[in-house]
Amino acid sequence: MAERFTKADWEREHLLAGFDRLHDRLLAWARSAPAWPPFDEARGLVGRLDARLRVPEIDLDRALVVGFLGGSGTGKSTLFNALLGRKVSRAGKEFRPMTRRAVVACHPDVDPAFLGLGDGELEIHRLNIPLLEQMILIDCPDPDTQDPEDGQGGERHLDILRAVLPHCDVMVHTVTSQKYKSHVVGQELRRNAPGRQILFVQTHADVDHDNRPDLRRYLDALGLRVPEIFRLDGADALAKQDRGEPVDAEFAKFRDLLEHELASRARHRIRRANLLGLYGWLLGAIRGPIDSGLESVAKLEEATARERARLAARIAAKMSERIDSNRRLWRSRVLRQLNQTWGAGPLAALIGTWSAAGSLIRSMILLRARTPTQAILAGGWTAVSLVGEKWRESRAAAALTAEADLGLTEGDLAHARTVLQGYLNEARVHPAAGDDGGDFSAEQLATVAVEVYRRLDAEINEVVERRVARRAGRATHWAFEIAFALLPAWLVLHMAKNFFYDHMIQGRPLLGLDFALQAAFWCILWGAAVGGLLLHRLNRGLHQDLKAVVERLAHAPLLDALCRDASEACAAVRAHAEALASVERDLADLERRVGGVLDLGLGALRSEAPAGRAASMEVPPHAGLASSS
Amino acid sequence: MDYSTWSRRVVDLAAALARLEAEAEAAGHPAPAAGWRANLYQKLVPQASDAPYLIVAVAGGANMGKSTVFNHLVGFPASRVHHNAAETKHPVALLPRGFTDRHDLAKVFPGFALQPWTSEDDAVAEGHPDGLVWREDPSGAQPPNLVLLDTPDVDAALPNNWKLAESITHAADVVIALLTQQKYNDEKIRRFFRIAAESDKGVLAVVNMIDWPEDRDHCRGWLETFRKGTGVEPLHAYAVPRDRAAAREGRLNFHPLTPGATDPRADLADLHFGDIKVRSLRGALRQALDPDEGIPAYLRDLESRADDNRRARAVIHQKVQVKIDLPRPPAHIVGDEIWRWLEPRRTWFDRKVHGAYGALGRAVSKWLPGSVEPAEDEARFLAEEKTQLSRALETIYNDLEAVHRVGAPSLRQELQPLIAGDQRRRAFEELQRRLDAAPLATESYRRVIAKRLESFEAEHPKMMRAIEWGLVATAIARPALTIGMFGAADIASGPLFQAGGHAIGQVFFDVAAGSALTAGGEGAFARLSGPARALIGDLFAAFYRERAELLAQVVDDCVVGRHLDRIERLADLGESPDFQSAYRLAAELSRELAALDEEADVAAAARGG
Repeated sequence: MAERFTKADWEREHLLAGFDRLHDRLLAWARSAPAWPPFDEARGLVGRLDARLRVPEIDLDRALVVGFLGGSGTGKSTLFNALLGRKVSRAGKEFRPMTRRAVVACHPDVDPAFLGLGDGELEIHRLNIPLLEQMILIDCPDPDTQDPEDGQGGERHLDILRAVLPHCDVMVHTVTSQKYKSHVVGQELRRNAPGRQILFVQTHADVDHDNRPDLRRYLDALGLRVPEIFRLDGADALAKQDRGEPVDAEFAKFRDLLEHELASRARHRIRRANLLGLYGWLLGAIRGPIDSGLESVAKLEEATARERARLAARIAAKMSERIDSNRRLWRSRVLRQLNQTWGAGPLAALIGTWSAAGSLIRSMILLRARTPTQAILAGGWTAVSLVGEKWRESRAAAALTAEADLGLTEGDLAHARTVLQGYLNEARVHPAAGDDGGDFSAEQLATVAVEVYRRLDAEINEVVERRVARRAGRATHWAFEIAFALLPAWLVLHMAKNFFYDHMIQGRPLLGLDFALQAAFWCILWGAAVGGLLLHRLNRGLHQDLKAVVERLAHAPLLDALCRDASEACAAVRAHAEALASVERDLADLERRVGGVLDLGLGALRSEAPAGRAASMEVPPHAGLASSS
Repeated sequence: MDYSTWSRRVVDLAAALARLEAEAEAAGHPAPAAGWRANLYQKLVPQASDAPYLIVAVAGGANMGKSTVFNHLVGFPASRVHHNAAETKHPVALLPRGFTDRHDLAKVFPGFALQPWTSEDDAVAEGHPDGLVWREDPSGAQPPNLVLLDTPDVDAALPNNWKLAESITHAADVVIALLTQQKYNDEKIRRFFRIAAESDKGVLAVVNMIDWPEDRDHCRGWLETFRKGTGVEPLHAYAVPRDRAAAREGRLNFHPLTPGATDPRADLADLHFGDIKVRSLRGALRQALDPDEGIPAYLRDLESRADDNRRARAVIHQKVQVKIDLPRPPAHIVGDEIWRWLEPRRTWFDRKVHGAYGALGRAVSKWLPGSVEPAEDEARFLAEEKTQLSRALETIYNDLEAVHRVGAPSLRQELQPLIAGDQRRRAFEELQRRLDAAPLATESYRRVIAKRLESFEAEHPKMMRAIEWGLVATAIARPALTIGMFGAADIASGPLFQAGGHAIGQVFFDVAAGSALTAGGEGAFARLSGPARALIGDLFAAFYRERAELLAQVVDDCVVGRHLDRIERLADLGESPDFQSAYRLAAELSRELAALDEEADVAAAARGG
């Protein structure tokens, strides 16, 4: 066995593995899709076509099945007979429709049972001729004489046609001058085109005008690829064969194409191309609704972002308003930070005293602080976390607090919820409500609010620390300490001179108590001036910095937790839709490896279907290709 | 049946139906393209009231030689013959001499864009989708009152061609049915001629492109199949051999297949115009009045649609209601208005004294715990009100969604745009805009207050003084407001007023006068006697009434108002006078037609016997 495994075999196995992989990936994709109607649709479609898609025995040596499709009287049976070289199927113009059953011509070795038709619908002719060694020919009934309502007294030859065509690898489409634009036939052709190759033939060449240019335009408008249209006369060809004369060149070429090119040499290629065509059609059919669905998902995402931005703007406005009205609170915070950073030093000691007095006041303010923002500005997270703890205990009450503080009312939330619901319905996305009460719920807002406050506190802390570090570092500290110490130092010097020199040596009177008092007074004043300068330096621009913090927070991804369920559902849909693109890439890759069948003069459905989505969504009749093994 | 009353009734019926269709279409229920419309508007209306003429149409599938046969009939190349299929895109009418003087062509072929014939290529030119090319017979050989028509195909890939062919063939009295061995039994062809047969049109069958004489016997078989498949009983039948050269030169060979037939030109001239006309008119009327596909079916459809919409209206009335607890009113709103009213009525001294008290009072109240600035109070009221309204909109949308989920398809279709995301967003924006634009105290509110105060002063002159003092304290009223889509049945149950004269979107306002005064038991106000209490209560109630009306109007305009209009219109369609008269006329005509058919049957039986 092993030594017979040639390079060609190896390539074939490789290709088959590619097909299996494509099938598995498509199946996995369909199975793991999140709940969304276009995906459900896709799942249904994949499920229905699975039997045709899963073809492990793609390379099996089955004969090529060629079916005839065309209006009544266009010479299907005549062409069928002409190809076989004998009268097998009844042809003629005595009455219409002539062919009411599927007439199968096959080699004696072939069992046509795979067509799955009853005896009344099928007529089998076993002929031992070279043409049929690699090929089964099926003459089908016409699609245009049966009334969909009355069915010509119970005869359902249209149904027979629709049962046979799915088994065909190649369709021979016969037309005449009168019927080449027939609407009914065109629709039937379009319906059966996915996943098979088509040969176009204008018959009655002896009596009819050549309509091939117009026919080509028409087929093109149907979304079909038309490399070549044969024009021949079946009746004439059969008559010539009967008389033993050579047939026309065009007929000979057609028969040769079928018998030698297609049935023997290109059979495997055709099957693969058919399968890839079917995959291509399926992916296109799946893609259509997904793409149009994604448009409304995009609208939903846009609406989510808009609502979120609207709420964020409200929150920012409210916070910025709070910052404006609580300047004293955050200044005291800067002071405290300064105090912590500096440590020892005369000025530091003075500011420490200051701050101590301030903190007494602050604690009073904290007691009065009615909202978390005030609390943060005044005292930091410790106080807030206490409040936050309380919130968690009873969410409903907490929500109200948070709302009032974030500048949002229940009305704003109702607004956002309602609008979002409208877009959700349109996008047909129905996210499961998370454990935080659902999108734009008061609970969700409370959670977000806690997070916002934590961040706000951290950011303000950072701003304050950075300010103090940058504007009141070690050098500044020493400069200010020295500046502050200048006056006391000079006073000490002056007092020392007065005592040791003026008083002890010169005998002048000592400086009085009033000097000491005045000196102390000026010292304090000096200290206040230096401290004021320092604080001015520290606080300048703090306001803008805090506003910037608010601005940043309002646009922070923090607020993405608002409306999280919908966003996540949208993201899941998007991600899954993109995963389809990788399946499409796999298909394109396989198509490149298999190569086309264009050189054989075969028509097929164009990969892009301009005939519109409605047409492309028509499911081709279900068929069990796999059962043909 | 008297011809003139009959034709008048047909015209009346058509007019009523046309109006009805327009109404239904405006309300979002377009009429389907049905055969009865062509029968009524293309045939019965133009031909019932005009001097009689006979229309003969050549009809059939693509590339069967219709134009060739038509050219043969008129005697010159009037309609271009093309070897490609489905090339004839416009009907071509050849009129007898002087026809345009006797008839108004626009009425003979209503709905068509009439274009005078310039060359044989007119028929194949692209152009107006409803174009019809016409020419008066240049030779003068055409029998007077005989109009010949070439029609587009009925089976190829251009649906506009079928539409034109069907529409123009409905106008015809006689159809020349083109048949070929390939197409004589095609489903599309069968159906087309079956309709012609059902409306009692005369048919001449022409089997074209045959091999003569080999196919002579086949021809009979084909005709028999055709006859069985369509119900057509051809007046005459002909066979025309395939002969391209002859076709090009306009000299076709017509081989008669039925006894008495010679050549279609001669046979057409020999037809009994009167009989055929009456039969085809009656056939058209019968088809138009067909109970399953004709006017009765359309009326039934409209009626059931109206029923659906009435039910939908009832459901919406029932389900979509929302209760709003209006917030406490700004305390000063009534007081300020009373002061404003009192201002010109007071003496100088009075004013000074009160001014001083007022200033003192304001200064004191500022420092009282729990007191609020008027501006702040107003802002609070507006914010709370807006919150309430947003929640109300949410409830309304949830209700509408619930109705949409379980509703009938037609209702779902109506509600779909109403509950779409974009529409919701616009509704909220509109709500915001309207609220921003609406002042708290409106002019009409001031007028109401003034009127009420004047009447009070007239009744209780001394009490005015007490009021002035009593206003230091304020009453607090908190009514509830229900906004809903109440049906007529609910109107009786409570004080209810319409918002903006709309039939839906009304409010139920449960502040009965006087009962508004619920929390006024504090301060001087509590000591006011009965009539003054009632007065203050009324004034608050008036404020709420104003406000409620505004809110209801806003909700109505923003959410449902004009969208539910269509539901209303469709619901009422079944009772419109046009519907009634169309229904009556159709019923009368059907009865008379049935009587006539019975007579004819009896006569036929008598002849047979």
